[in-house]
Amino acid sequence: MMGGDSVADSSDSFDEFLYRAYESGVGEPEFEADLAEAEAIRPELVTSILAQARRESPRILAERIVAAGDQAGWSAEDLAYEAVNEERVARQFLSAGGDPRQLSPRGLAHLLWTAGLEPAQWRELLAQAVAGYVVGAGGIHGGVVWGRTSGLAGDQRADALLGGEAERDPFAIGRVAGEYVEEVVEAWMSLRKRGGGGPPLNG
Amino acid sequence: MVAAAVARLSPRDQSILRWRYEERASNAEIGKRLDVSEGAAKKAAHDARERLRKILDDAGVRYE
Repeated sequence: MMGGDSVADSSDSFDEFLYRAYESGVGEPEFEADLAEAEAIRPELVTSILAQARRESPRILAERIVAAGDQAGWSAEDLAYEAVNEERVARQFLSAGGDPRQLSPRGLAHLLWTAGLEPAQWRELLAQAVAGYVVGAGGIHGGVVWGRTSGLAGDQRADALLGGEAERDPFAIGRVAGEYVEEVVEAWMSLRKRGGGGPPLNG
Repeated sequence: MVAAAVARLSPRDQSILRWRYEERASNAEIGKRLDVSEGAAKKAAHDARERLRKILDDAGVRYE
């Protein structure tokens, strides 16, 4: 829909000023890079930029949860309260993003369930969000622990899944992210099965 | 003057403002392009506008 609704509830003089300015032609953004000579980009810079981009995923996921919750009649504070025993971490994640694995799969599933988001709406984004933090983590130490990792969180989970000397290759990273996502999906399905976590206020 | 101020914004903000004020895109349309909810798009557009307003205010531009 191209309705032209104003940013504010009612159009103000600044809006009018901007409409006129753009009508006169503010122009396409021209970036200095467009004019610069092509040059090689250092690999470490590419890695850094990619990691930074991946770290945007948790923030986007948190925004999506808050927005969906808002539409269902839940404030961010209400949502955080649903992550029983993890309220503080949930509040922090919803306001600032960060590694989703700060939350247990069950805690995150509670947020997603309460906000009324189906797995199809967050599965891929969650995997990206987790992968970003696995990439950004430090070295791995400790023994190999395969299989379920409930009870572990953050880098401990990554360490357990990847093993002591494993390199952080894309397959291993995908496995860590996939494992966590599957546990969240499982917890979400469990909530749906028993209708727990509190029904949406307007649903 | 406005173009110079807009150029100081992030590419994301520049795009949002262009969609809003040039293409007159709705919050729902902006949300689709950003892959966020309509509510989040409204906030993003509001924030972008306020960042532009601050740059213009700091430069002493009058728009009333």
